[in-house]
Amino acid sequence: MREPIGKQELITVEKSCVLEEVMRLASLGMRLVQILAVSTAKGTEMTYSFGKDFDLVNVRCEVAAGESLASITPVWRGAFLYENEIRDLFGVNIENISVDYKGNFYTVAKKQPFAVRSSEQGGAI
Amino acid sequence: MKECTIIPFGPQHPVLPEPLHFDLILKDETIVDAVPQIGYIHRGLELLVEKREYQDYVFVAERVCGICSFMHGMGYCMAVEDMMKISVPERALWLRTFWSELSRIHSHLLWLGLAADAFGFENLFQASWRAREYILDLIEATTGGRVIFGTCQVGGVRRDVTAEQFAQVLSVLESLKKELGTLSDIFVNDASVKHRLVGAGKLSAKDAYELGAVGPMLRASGVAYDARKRGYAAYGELNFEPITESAGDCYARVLVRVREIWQSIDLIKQVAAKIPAGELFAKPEGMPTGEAFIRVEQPRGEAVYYVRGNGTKFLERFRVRTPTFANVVPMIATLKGSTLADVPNLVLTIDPCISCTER
Amino acid sequence: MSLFPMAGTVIKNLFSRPATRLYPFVKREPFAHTRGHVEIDFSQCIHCGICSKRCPTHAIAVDRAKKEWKIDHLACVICGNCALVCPKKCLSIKEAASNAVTRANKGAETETHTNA
Repeated sequence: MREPIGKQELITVEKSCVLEEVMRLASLGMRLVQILAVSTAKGTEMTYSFGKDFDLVNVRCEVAAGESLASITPVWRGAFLYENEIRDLFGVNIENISVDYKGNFYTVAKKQPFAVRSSEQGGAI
Repeated sequence: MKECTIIPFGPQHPVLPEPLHFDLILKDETIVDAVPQIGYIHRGLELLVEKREYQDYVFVAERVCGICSFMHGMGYCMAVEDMMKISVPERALWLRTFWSELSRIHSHLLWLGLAADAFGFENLFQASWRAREYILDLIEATTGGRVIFGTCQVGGVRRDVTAEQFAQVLSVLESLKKELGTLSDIFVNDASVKHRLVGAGKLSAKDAYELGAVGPMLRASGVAYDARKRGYAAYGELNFEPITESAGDCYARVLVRVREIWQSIDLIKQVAAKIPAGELFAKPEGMPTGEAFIRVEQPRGEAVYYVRGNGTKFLERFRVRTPTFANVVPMIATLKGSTLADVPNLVLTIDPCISCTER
Repeated sequence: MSLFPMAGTVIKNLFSRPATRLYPFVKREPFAHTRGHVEIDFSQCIHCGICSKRCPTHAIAVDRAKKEWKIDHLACVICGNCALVCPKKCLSIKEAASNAVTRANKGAETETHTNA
């Protein structure tokens, strides 16, 4: 059986170069597919995925704990929902989001529940 | 200067299948802005991946949502198989395609019922769900559960579908054609349905693409993107084209979903004719290490699955970017400028699945 | 554009039998492989505890010392993982749904087997 079509590529950049990379991909006609955050020992690792037809390009950067990150909403108006969710769940300080819900978007009992790995959180299960 | 009124929509509302909250800011009857608030069904399932072995987590991934359940399980399995380089047997891939299409029919019939309920047509709502009961019976006969299929596992599928069961499926779908035909006729041609839906929630192709719309939301605005054309599972061997409309309003989205039901029935016929005999399961070897991105076409749109392993039997991260989450942004864009009476239609038109969105 | 496409369905509904069953007088038979509840053949159980470790909802509890196997039927989601991983294949999934638990028979959801 044939393999699914579409290439995947991973580009790792410094967090200051993310906006520039995003603008380059937007000029190639790519659309924002998703924004992903993973809690690591040093902080949070952000991956922005862009797609055109069936190809996927992932832009990755590392944000240390306590640092801030510039929003990509100046280039992609639709990114504000992802960035609000990541800020509410992971505690990453994303600045200048075009539509900023100031922490009231994802209301859960424990603030920033995903910021620490569950193995370190203790808890019932 | 006119003052604005703020009306809360949800979390409990007769048209919402799941709790979702909006603060609608209105001037008279026109909506100026909508502020969403989610978190009512947050269960922290993504964090649970660190506490359940990767082969057991498929049962958790399936239960992220009741309507899109099978494809969540399948997407998780496909992501882990991609990461561990497991080669799934062919028959298992065809069976996954079969269950995905059955899942798509039942999900679209559910949505058609809810959309009819949103504009007040209760009788049509019940008629759609009555047709859906036959599909749920087929699903229970082939998998063991009405909504939670429980048939996917990392490396293949857990159970087989015999030739007699395939014949039964095809005969039930054939006998359902008359009822589905009546439903399609009402949704597509009825004057009252058209009166409510034509022109509501217009989304241009450029806006849909830039705001990140996926699925029928994107295809009804004219952009022909269907993740099934990538050819994952057995879709590479099947004959179909993405269904598009150009108007970009609620009526166009109804047309796209109605036609997709017919397309899914055709795809199931193709699967039943072409499915090869063979193994159902390939045992995974080694431990999951590395990462993988997978995209699957759920009934609501393209879903992205991401897994990361660190060499132990517990995965480090599992992420689902569900289609509803991507569609909330264009929904907010269409809400601005519409009237209060149209809000249930516009909220339902993206086919909201909030349990998927919040995991 | 049709004006009354629903009229045919409405008239048919008025003059035909209901689509619903008259439960509890008519019960719905489950299908051959419906996942209804978990059953154990306790004579084959070796108390290894694998079913308990692999249960996604922690519905099964195994006590090796007391040779006891316990399941909470209300916590069980009938995924079938226990039946899949049991080395002696003594667990199976049966079609009938587990019994309802009311205030009168509280505690009936827990099924305990002991070799004491």
